[in-house]
Amino acid sequence: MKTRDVTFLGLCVALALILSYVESLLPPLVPVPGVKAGLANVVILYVLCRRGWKAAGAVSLVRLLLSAALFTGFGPFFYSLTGAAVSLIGSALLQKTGRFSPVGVSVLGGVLHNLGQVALAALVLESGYVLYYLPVLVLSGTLAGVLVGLLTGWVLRLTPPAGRHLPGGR
Amino acid sequence: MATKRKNDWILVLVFLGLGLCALLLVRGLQQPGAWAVVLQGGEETGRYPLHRDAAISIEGPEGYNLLVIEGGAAYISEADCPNGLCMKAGKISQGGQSLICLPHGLTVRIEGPGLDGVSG
Repeated sequence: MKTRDVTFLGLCVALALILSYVESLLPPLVPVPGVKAGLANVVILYVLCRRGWKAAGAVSLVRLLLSAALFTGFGPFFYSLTGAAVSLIGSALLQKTGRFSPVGVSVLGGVLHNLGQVALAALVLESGYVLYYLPVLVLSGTLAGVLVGLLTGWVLRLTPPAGRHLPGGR
Repeated sequence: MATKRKNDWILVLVFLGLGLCALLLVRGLQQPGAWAVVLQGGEETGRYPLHRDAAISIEGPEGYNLLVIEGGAAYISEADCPNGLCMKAGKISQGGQSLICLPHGLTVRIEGPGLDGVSG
């Protein structure tokens, strides 16, 4: 891995971290655990589109570890990790088909993220009743996915692929 | 680009459709409940009739929540969890609805009139 890549991915981690922190300061729109826009996923999706799933997974994992250590503690960590992993696998596969723009990729990611978390909650709380939240989480995951996808598409259009915008860059 | 946009739309509409259908299904299955059942870490630790007003302090290893039953509905009025989502969730009264406090591993759910619904 080149120094350049380490720097780039490190910046992405920092950006994702600060976005999730800023988002956590905003009042929740809907009083259901797990319903939020997930602005940090703009960064993850950006890295997925530009650098592939391994880089996106690495940024996502480091960001979750730091976020748990700095802000939330390791209780919510496993929910986030499950959601992020399921979401990334689905998004990466959908992106590979080449038939969807970032919006579609992000919508699947958002829905899978919520499904993964609610499945884990059902297992941990040993309560099938959590599944009553499924409809709300599918809807909120879709809307969050659209928002994140639109933002990511916008950022992708504004930034040329790395290396071409600097004279002498590789 | 145009077909991608179309595929995106199809995906969004499919998920919105699925979500709305599931929402209607869940709503259709709901009936007014009779009990507020308290679960901590998946274990039932209390069961309170909705028709009798009460305030129940629920202590757990991670913190406490104050469950209030008032006029046939249950809600959390106080909690020392970091985000307080359980309080913002409002009042619940329909069978299957629940209040969840993830940080404390606490679930309060409403159960329908059971066989022992006449007692108390």
